[in-house]
Amino acid sequence: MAQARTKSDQKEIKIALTGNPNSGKTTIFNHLTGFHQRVGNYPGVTVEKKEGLVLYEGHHLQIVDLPGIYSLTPYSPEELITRRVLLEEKPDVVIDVLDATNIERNLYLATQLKELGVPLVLALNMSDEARAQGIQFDLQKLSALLGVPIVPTVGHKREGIGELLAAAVEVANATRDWREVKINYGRDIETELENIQRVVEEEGLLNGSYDARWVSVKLLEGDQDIIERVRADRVLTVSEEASRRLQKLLGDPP
Amino acid sequence: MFRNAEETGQSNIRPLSLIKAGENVKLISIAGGQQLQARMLALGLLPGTSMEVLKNRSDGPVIIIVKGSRLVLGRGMSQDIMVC
Repeated sequence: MAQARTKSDQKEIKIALTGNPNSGKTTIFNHLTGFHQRVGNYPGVTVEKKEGLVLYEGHHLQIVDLPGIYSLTPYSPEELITRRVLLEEKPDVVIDVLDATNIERNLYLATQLKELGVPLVLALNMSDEARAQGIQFDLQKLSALLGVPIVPTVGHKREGIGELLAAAVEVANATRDWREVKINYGRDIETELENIQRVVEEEGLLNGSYDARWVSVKLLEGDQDIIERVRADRVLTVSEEASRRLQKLLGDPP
Repeated sequence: MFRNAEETGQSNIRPLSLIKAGENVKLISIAGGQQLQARMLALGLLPGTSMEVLKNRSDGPVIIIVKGSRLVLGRGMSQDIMVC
């Protein structure tokens, strides 16, 4: 197909694969890269990040396979690794691999990725098994609600891999910057968040490479990794006071 | 969202660690800190979630089935998860 070669045609695109443990990330990674990374039908096979380079329609794709995680809350080393790769290496697009037979739990991570603002494509993997179990998806509606493209895939049969790659490259080319999705947490929490965010911005924390609002949300959640890395007493005092006020007001820790 | 067991006013609330294999229970609350609560949320364990205990030996982890998938929870964790 004749195509006008634009600047974006030659640029290197960094694609990161995330998803719950045992959702099929490495199987998809192997199809995308032609590698033979070890896969297993049990969680936790990938414990470090793996990278592969692929040439795809004039694009140099750098594909990164990450360990399986349930959330971006740094509870385990895997979650910490994944979050740091996402925040510090800022991939051009993230493919979140979902286990279609367990969609509710899998979408939790997807919403966290959306909140972080990463350009996102969802791979609805194991879609054949979901169908066999009688689970049906209204892909158009789900995609519209989440504001991300969704591609049904069957990892072990290679189904949907081409479509997935095309969708990822399209998102990477269309998105110039990360766009954080602002979730409205309600007036009480928003007021406190604004206070924290102001101080975070004044102090110019974490070299400004992290979104100030996102950092504020994490401080309010008591995220140990962020708290340790912020190391500014003024900010921590403000966020601790905010947290105490909210706990009193709402009954639960924020 | 995660109320203390006393606040819910339900009787027969026990920690998950005391539930025998084969029993079906519902999650009532998490008697742990912010970190554990966030973890439970990420695993899809919310108040009201039904689960079946698959394995529970007095000295090891508790294995449960939630929404079709097996989850292995450490002994300590299972003592903080209140069910009935």
